[in-house]
Amino acid sequence: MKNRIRVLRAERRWTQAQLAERARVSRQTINAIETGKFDPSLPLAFTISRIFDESIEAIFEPD
Amino acid sequence: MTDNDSGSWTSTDRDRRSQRAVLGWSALWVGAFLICDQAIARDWIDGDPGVIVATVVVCLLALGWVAAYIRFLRNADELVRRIQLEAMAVALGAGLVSGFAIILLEDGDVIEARPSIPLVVMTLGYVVAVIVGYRRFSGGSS
Repeated sequence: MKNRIRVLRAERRWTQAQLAERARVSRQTINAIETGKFDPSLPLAFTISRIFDESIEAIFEPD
Repeated sequence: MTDNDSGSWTSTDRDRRSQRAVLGWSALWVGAFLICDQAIARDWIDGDPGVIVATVVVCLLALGWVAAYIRFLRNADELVRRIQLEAMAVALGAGLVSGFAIILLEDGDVIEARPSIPLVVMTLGYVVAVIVGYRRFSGGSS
């Protein structure tokens, strides 16, 4: 699954660690999602979309 | 934007507490097992009742470890849960494969039955799979 997390994070000048803290997950989880190694669960996808104030569809899209 | 490229694994506070509990229970269980094993082997514990009591104590500590591990999985970050799930699959596979292989080797009188071998293979498989899993996902950002 592709995603725009890296772009959205860069726009806000957040580090992976800062986003991870907001999402209450490890930095490695954010890194793994950004690099496409790991697809987040639906609750985490909703959390991330809430943090960026964007819809899930605007952040994640299937390959 | 400065990402941490160290590759060291970060955990949430909740994860760390659960990890410490699992490590503590693991130490208690393994320590009690080793002490009882040696005590039985050296006849410090004499007679069936003593051995049964020692075994029950070790089993109760093992149940504590299981409960702590379940709590750890419930509290774990979802990536950690995936690593643990894959490690458990490797451990189960390693235990089953080695266990059935030993049955065949024993049936053919190639080796004597050693029930501890599949347990060792299972444990090693789990540990290696956890290490590989953490290393796979511990890379820094690009």
